[in-house]
Amino acid sequence: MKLYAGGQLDFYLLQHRSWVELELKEPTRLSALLVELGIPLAEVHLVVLNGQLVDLQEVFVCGQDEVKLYPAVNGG
Amino acid sequence: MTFGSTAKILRVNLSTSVLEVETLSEDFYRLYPGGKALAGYILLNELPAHTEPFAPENVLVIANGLLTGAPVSTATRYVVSARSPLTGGYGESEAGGFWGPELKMAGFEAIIIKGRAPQPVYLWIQDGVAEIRPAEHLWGRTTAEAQQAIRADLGDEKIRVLQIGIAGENLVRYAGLTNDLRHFNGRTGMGAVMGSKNLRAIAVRGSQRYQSLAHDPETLLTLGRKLSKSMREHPASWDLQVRGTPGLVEPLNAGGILPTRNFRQGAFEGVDEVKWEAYEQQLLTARRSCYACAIRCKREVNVNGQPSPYGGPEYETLGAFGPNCGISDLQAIAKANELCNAYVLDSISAGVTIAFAMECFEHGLIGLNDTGGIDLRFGNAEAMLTILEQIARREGLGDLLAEGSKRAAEKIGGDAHFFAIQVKGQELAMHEPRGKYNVGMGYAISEIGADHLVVAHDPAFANPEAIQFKSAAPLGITVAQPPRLLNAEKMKHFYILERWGSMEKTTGYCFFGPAPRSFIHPDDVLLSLNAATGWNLTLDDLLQIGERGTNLARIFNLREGFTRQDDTLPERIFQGLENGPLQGLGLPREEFEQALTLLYTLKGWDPQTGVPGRERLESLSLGWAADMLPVQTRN
Repeated sequence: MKLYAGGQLDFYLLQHRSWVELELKEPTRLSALLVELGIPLAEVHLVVLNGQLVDLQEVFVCGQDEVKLYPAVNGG
Repeated sequence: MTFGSTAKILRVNLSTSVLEVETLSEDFYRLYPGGKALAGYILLNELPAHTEPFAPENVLVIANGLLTGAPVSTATRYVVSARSPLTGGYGESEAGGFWGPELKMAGFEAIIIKGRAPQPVYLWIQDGVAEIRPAEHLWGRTTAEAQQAIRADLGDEKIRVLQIGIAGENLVRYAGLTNDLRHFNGRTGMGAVMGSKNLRAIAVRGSQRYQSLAHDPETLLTLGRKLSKSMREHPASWDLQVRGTPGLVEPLNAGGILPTRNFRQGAFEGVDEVKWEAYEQQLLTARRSCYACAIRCKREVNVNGQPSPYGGPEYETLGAFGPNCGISDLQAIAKANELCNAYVLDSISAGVTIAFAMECFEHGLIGLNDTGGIDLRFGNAEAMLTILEQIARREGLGDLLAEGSKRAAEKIGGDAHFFAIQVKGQELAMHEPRGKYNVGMGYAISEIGADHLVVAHDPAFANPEAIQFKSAAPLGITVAQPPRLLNAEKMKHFYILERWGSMEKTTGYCFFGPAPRSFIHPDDVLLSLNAATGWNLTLDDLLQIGERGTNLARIFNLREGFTRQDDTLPERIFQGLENGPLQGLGLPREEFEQALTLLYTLKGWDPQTGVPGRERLESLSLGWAADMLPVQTRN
């Protein structure tokens, strides 16, 4: 699967990469995956799975899924 | 001695060419420590009610914040205030950059400008000495040309130039000011007021150091170093460092709150062509900062492959000329940004006013005869650029649109008023209030008309475990709330955040500095101000400083005839969005009105009329201002 950490969420990833590719052998709970990657769940405001907004706590990912994460963004 | 401040104000009468220096007492400055609060005090006391915005009697105040110029990241800001030609009410716009710090180094906290010069002039200030100089040779020139000419005139490339452009000369009601060609006082038409005074520019050069003014310069320097380091390690400022404000485009679109096609929609099908990755690939050449700021959120760009002498488009500009006009041509948007900078137009009001005209055109309220044959439909980038030129020059349809969307709608008639997305005459910024209700409340209640920087935005306060939310606890925000809700707790958030934001505008902090928006803990904000002044302020004192500023501006507007009916939102916002994750959802009108009443009550204002109560004003040491309220509104 491909995972995009938008906004300041790439701050938490290795070398601050925005995109991460992961090989998942079976459907995996996204929240558990993010904890493993070091992204604090509280900082994730929106999750887009294959173009659709989904609930972080309920979603499983696998195979060719594309996940985009966005933080709560402020003004300016 | 007043620590942290030069305590000097320069008074300029352009009608008589008299320049005077006034010294402020510490007792006075402690109540009105620069920026918004100082400007509000001066306008209420020195500008007679109902003065025409373009009359020589209008008073233009340019005021540094207390901390502006300190060696602390994000303490760079100054405000420009006057009666606004766009709203008819309190005008105010802040900017960062280097000009404010340079003014302080040159010996002044503020400049008060009255009268009108018989011919175009500019003001030259160097180390406490000011001079009025002729500027006929600058009139009609782009800002890049004018800045170069001023520096050549004075023989110093390091002079900082604050100036208007041809939009201000032509009295476009949303003309702004720029310093160093890349930092803008965009909102409320302050550039037009300056233009009406025949004042093209204010050039400054100073040699003083802020540390020499500070009560405890060592603590201030140590704090400044600590903040520069912690900023690099803080996620809340990370995105600003890497992407700057253009990084907002994609997340807002994902949430369905990217204003699109004049706020009809919340998601834009062309987002991939205007989001940060496209910007980085097509436009970005370098990152720049404001004075002493480690964040470096400013961007340098190429436009159509050529290095631009102006700064790159910020999020607001990308949104206003991009999705909100249905345009995905990034080079055209960057060109629009360059035109706004060369002529000094507020890119928010300009973009939203053009989107308004596009919607009027598509509904047949204006036709090809009005546009001079321009096919002014959403998505037509060439048309957008042509109309923008016309606005700055007040040519063709641009002459009408230079009046702003509210006045233009009144002239066009029919349903045009429904397409004018404005509050109190000022156009909404690129933040969709149907997804962030307190941003909507900020648009409605702001004394300057729709303003997106009244409070930190709702999503930051939705998750009790999130960093931004937790950083607001010292201010009293402890219960998380969803973005799409208006209740008593949300109004408590608003009341706290509004005072905190107003404090930032008074002390010179940027919205991108202090928590909860960004990385500077409230205790460090306090430490910086106490190290500067030695005043032993508390957080409550800071909130009170902020509240003083908002009340002064409120009274200014009441004096001009504003009422509760002006604290509202465009009709469209109460209706559903056409697309995206929030499709069909509007901001509930009844909830909004109830929340407004709650908010008035928290602010110590009459719950029905929104008039500040004498008791609250006296608690803010503003009893004198209660006497300035129109007699019929006093309570």
